[in-house]
Formats: sequence, structure tokens, C-alpha cells
Amino acid sequence: MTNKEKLKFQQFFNFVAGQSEVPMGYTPAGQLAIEDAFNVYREGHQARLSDALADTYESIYKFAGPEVFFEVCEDYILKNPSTTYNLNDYGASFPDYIKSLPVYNDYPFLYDLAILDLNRNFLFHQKTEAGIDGVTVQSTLKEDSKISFVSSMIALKSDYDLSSMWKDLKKEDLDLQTLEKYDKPCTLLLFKDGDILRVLSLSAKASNAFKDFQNGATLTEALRNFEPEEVTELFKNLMSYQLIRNIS
Amino acid sequence: MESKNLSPSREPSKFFGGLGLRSSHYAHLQEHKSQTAKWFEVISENFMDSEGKPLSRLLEFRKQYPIALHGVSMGIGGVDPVDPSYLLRLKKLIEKVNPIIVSDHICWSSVGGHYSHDLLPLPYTDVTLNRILEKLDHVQNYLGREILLENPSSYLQFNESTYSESDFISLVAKKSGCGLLLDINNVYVSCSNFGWNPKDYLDNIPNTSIGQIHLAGFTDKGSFLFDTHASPVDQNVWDLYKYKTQNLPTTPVMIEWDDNIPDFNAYENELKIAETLWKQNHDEQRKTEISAVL
Repeated sequence: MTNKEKLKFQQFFNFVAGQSEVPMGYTPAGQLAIEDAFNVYREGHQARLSDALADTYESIYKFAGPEVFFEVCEDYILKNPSTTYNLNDYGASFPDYIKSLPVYNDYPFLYDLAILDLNRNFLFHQKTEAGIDGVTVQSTLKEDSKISFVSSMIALKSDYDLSSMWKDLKKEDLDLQTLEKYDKPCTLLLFKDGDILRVLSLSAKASNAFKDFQNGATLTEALRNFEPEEVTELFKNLMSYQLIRNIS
Repeated sequence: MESKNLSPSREPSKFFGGLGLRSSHYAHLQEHKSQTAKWFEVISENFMDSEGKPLSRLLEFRKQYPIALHGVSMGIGGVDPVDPSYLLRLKKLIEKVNPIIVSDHICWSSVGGHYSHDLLPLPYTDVTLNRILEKLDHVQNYLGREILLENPSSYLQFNESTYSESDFISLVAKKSGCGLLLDINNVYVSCSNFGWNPKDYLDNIPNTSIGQIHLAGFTDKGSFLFDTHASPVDQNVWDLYKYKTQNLPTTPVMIEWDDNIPDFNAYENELKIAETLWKQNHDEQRKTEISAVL
């Protein structure tokens, strides 16, 4: 392959990706002008990547509406070419991009909402890992046990009530006048239950215990401030959905 | 790599029609067996990187119907090498699905590690031909099987091309031993867009290399035809299909429909038309053969 040939492909791609002047040395289809023929590919490129972002960032799409969302996508796509063959993986940096936009100052929860979307999309394509069954957990747990969790589970911490926001967004547009009702810190547990993606809200205590478990704390250390009924509540979900991978 | 038998095992001279597996049709297909579709085609990339619901549903579906894997991202004509992780994942998917056909396109889609996610046109030159042959050899050896390559629909031609598209595609098949996925809608779209004769194009493609046929609908944008897969097959495309399949009695035929997807019955009706035209060709031929013997 010659450098000249590579340059030709690069110039073609640059135009398709919206970055340069129309390349020379081509014959357009039908009655099209050369620029219009190239624009067929440019518009296809824009549409595919925008649709991929809309699929992944479903909540952001719903909050912003199609017009604003696709306008934002246009700029993002121009600055962030796809580096993977898998369209579903496109846009991992979109939450950070949202953070850089002026709209983030008015609606700072958008970053957290985008992270929630990103993780939902990730888990959707993950294999469901079945952990230890409830009976084995009960018979194995000791005070000094350490717990690890299945890979098809993610804990997310936010300053906003993302779970309610997400549920409300599924039903209708958010009322911009009452957004303060979502100003409640929360930790969400996202996990696969068979092919179904479930989201549970954790209490602040449970959230801290999770963090402690993930950092290698023993049962006694992680649950030091728990009342017995709180321990029961936490383990009820962990056991019924088989979210514990290993007890050591 | 040596050429293998292109056609999946089936009875000779029987219509072997397939449809695209669309998520909006899953529920219908769980309740009703397709009357005409004997197999289904899926986009490889939709399943290669997923271990979730899409893959488990596909593997369940695979128990009822043979599956063809149709890729859009191999970029066999591009200047970038074929991504090794792409090939590894495709190979793993092939092992899981055991497809009757694996295919991709004669196109490019990435340069310098940046992906367009489109089927971009190639210059039809010896340099491109040699690059495709080299990459194809690697791909077919790595996968341990033959793949089919599909002719593109295009809206631009490279002025530096020294071969016609049909000559170039035929050479790829002859020199590599790969099969061809002949997309007759793409032939019609490109021929209309560039003023080529579609029958000459089809005559130029060797029947022995054709391992599958695609049919689909296009959109007439006024100044050009756009390959959208968003409408029924055009009459001109049906005519070309009937013309080309006169001497293709066993080649699998598939209808693509990716946008404005109708209900399953309307989609299946397109395949029934393909079957009717096929029967007109081959039943007439069989009658002639029988009369000759009698």
C-alpha cells in the first residue's frame, strides 16, 4: 500500500466525518454534484453514530428531546471519531462531553444520568453470572467472611435520585420546575436477573456496606452499624437474585 | 485457500429462501413457523460483542432455523488490516451459531483506526485487488471456512479505477476462492446511478461463484437511487432476479428489509414472490428437460 493511497482513503474519511473539503478524483452517481454524492456518505455516518448514541443514552435523549440531542451529537461526533468496529461501543466519553457543555451548569444531574445509561447498556450485553444460591450463602457465612459479587452487577452512587428520575422519564418529560425533588443522594444496584436488567435503590448504610465489602471488609466490619432487620433486608436481595459470587 | 462447496446442504432444485431476523418479528415467529423462510440472516456485529439477551435469543432461535451471519465491518478492501479482535469474536460467534453462510462486503470502512460504520466504495485497481486477496486469504484461513463477499451499492466512483465493478468482483472470486453474495438490488442501484447495463453486469458474474442472493428495496431520491432496504423489491429488480436465477437452481435467496419494517406476513410475502419467480424459471426448465427425455 502506498502513502498516496492511504492519503486518499484518509481524505475520503475526513470528509465523511465532517472534517475537510470535498476530495478530488471521483465521479458522482446519477445527477448528483460531487459534494452531494459525498454528503450521502456523510449523512449516513452522522445518522448511524447519532442513533447509536440515542440508543445508549436513552435517558439523555428523552430529557433533551430529539432536536437538541441530535444537535449535541453532531458536535460530539465531529470531535470524537469512532475507534471501534462495534457501533454499540461508540460514545463512552459522552458523559464527560456533557460535563463540558454549558447545559451541565443548569442540569448537573445529566452527567450521572448519562453514567446510568452507559452502565445499563454495558450490562445489557453482559453475560448473566449466577452467584451462590441462598441456602449455600446462609450455611457458609461467618462473622469473618469476605464477600465478592457477580460481574453482572454494578453499584452506582449519585447525588441525585436517579432511579425516580429514570422511571419518570420513561413515562413523560420531566417537569423542569420541580427538579429539586430529585436532589436526594442515592446508590443504585444494577444487575442482570436472567435476561432482565433490574435496578434497586440502596439505603446509605447498605451503600457503605457494599463499598466496604468491595474493599475487602469482613461481614462484621461491613455491617457494624446494621440492625438485624437491616441485615436481613440487604441479604434478602443478594440471595434471591444470587448476586454473591464468592464467600471466603 | 481452496474453494469449498458454496451452497449449504439441501435438496437440489428446491427454492431455499431466507429472511432477515428482526426483533419486531420475534414474538410472531415464536407462535408461527414461517411458511416460506427456511433460514434467517442476522448482522454478525449485533451478536459478536453481546453475551446478553440478543445472543441468548439468537441461540434459542437457531434451534428452529439455520442462520446466516452477514457482517458489515470487516473492511476487506480497506488500507487498515482486519482488526484481530474482530476476527476472534467473529470466529467465536461462528462456533456458537454454526451458520450456514458467513458473509461481508467488498468495501472499506476504516482508516487509521477510525471507523465510518458504512460500506464505502473502493478504487477498482490491481493494488486494491491484491490487498483484498491478501486479507481474504488471512480471513478465510483464520476462520477455517469460506466467506461470501457482497457487491456494494455506491454513489461515487474512484476515477483511478481500471476495472469495471463486475470485472473486479469476478476477479476477487476467481483469484481468492471466496464466494459471492450477489445483491441484485445493489446491482440495479449502482447500474442506474452510473449508467451501466445491469444485465451485462450480471452476465459478468460467474454463476459458479454465487453462494447467495440478496434482494431488497431502494428509495428513488430523484437525482439518484438510494439503497435503503426500506421498501418492497422494485419490479426492475424482480426482472433482473428472474433473469439471473435461470441458471441458479440451488442458490439461497434472501430478502433484506431494515427500515420501515412491515409485519412479518408482509415481509414474508416478498419471499413468496421470489419463490414464485424461481418456480417459473425452474419448473419450466424441468418440464423442458422431462419432455426432452420423453
